[in-house]
Amino acid sequence: MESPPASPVKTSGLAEEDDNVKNMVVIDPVTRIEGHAKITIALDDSGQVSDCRFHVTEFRGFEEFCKGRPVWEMPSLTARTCGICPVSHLLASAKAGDAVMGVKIPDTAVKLRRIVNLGQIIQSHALSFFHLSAPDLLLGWDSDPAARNVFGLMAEEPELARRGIMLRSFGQGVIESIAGRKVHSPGILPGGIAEPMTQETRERLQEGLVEARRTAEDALVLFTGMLDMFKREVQAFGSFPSYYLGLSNDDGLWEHYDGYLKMVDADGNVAATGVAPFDYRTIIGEAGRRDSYLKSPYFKPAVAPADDPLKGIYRVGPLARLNVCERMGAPAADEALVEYRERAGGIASSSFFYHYARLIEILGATERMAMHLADDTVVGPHVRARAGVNERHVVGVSEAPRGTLFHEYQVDDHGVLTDMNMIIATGQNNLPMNETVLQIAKEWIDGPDIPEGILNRIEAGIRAYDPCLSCSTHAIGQMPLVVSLLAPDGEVLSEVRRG
Amino acid sequence: MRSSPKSGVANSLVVGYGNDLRGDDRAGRLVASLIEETDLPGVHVLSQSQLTPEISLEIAKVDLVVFVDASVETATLDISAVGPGVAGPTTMSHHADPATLLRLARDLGKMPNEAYVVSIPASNLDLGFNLSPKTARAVDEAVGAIVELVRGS
Repeated sequence: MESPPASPVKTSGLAEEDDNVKNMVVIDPVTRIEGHAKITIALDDSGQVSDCRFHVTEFRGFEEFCKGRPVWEMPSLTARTCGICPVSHLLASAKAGDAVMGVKIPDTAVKLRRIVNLGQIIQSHALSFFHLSAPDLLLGWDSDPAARNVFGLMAEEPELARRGIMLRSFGQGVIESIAGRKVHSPGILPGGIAEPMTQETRERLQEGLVEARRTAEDALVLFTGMLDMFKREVQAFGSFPSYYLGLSNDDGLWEHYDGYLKMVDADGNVAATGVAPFDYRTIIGEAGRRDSYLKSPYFKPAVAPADDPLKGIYRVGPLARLNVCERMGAPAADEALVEYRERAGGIASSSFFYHYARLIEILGATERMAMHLADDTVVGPHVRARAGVNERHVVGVSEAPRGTLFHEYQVDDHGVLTDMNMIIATGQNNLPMNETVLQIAKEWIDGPDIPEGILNRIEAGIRAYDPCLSCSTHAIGQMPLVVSLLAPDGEVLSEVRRG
Repeated sequence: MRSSPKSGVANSLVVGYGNDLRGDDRAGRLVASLIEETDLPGVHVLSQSQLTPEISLEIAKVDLVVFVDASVETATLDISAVGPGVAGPTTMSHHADPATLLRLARDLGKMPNEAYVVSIPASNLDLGFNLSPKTARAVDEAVGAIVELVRGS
């Protein structure tokens, strides 16, 4: 493990109890993200932004709910954590199940799981880009909010909107073809996959890939053509030094399913690599914050005891994966990655580039899927290993569209869960989202009057991460629940605390 | 409220949605699975945790679409006609609704002739698999009503 970045990470943050807060602007709820959240912006006496907080106000409690359930049920159960990226939970959970059994699953099953995950990345990124973010990018941050949505996009760019829907549908179709259902698929199991892929399915997916790839390429051309119009956003939408985490492999290729953990610093230097998923706690710490159910993971080697976790701030997801990998391992995506790095000046440190990275990942996913489907063993008959309980403490990791996903289970001799921890991508981006909101607010807000377009930019800063908050809440019984009664000037009148 | 269905609809889509780990919230998906078991000709069934934009592609293929969801805002089974909705800035998070999808389907080229929302009364949305008695009764009632709708009787 190497040293943390030379460039210090900014450690500003709203004090837990700030008596100086006189004015607050609250955006509640944040629109066009999954789940529920609240942003609080604190202004000082002169009306300038002093600090911001991004709060998660929805509580799920899945970690407690899953205790006492058999590990074999976990893929199906944890997939219910989310209706947008259930396959990611299926994969991480199934991999944890593989580890409980102590088996190496058949190669064909590995390929099919990879294809499913690529389909998941395509469909999720398509939703994020074409439906949630493209209205801002194409119609303008200050355009009529009533039309700044997919219908406005349909009116202005009907073909683009239609192809975005088709692309997402293709990704969903990939999932359904292999895993049996688009949402909460039952076909991914500890030990492998429930059913082999048929030749007919293989050919159908190959056929669909042609249009999917074309859409990805066209979207990239569109986005890069617009990028120069967003210089201010590139500078102010979460442009700060941080660490970046992703799965990696010995070939340095973009990794989304297997391998080991790799962390690079703000300058692209390796901060940690070769870390087995089971050892994730050696590099990741988890801090709780009183104003949100969202955990705040941080890069542990960068944070001394009693230090601010912000010193270990790291990002996950498309931006991080492209900073962690050396190459995409796919010709067109590799070409796009070269241009991406030229535009970013090397390591991409602006969260605005999440959009760009997402499009390159869609393109790379179509190419990598084509490679898997071209391999005749993808329709092989052996797709599942079977065994009993051989390990009692395991970790399963995969790359969800939004970033690295961890499932840690402890089971008894019968495979019943006695303890569980999930670290999801949106949680890992919690600290960066806070920093992003603060940066945008400081850039655009000047005084108490905030035009709608500025509010939209603040929300868009969060949407760049494509957060999925429904996955990411604390375990029940561990959350610090605080109910505060505040006077108009911010004074705390009373407070009830639990946990 | 109950709208009178038109007759002779054969090409239909039933979309049941909700969280099947959240007590009564699974009612819509349960109805979807029960409708699927009836194996009615010309009836396509989707079971979803939430409504997402690509469902509009399926809606654009049918003459009748029925959305089935649990609702804490109704005390009895409610079947209402629904049309394409006016979008707001919050569109297309997990709050996408039937009206939104119908408008997308229309913009994609085709709107079904008929569209209904079946709302099943719900009271318990805690983590768990069990339906409350009132919701369980409404599920059975909803299945019968939807079969009647798609048969056009």
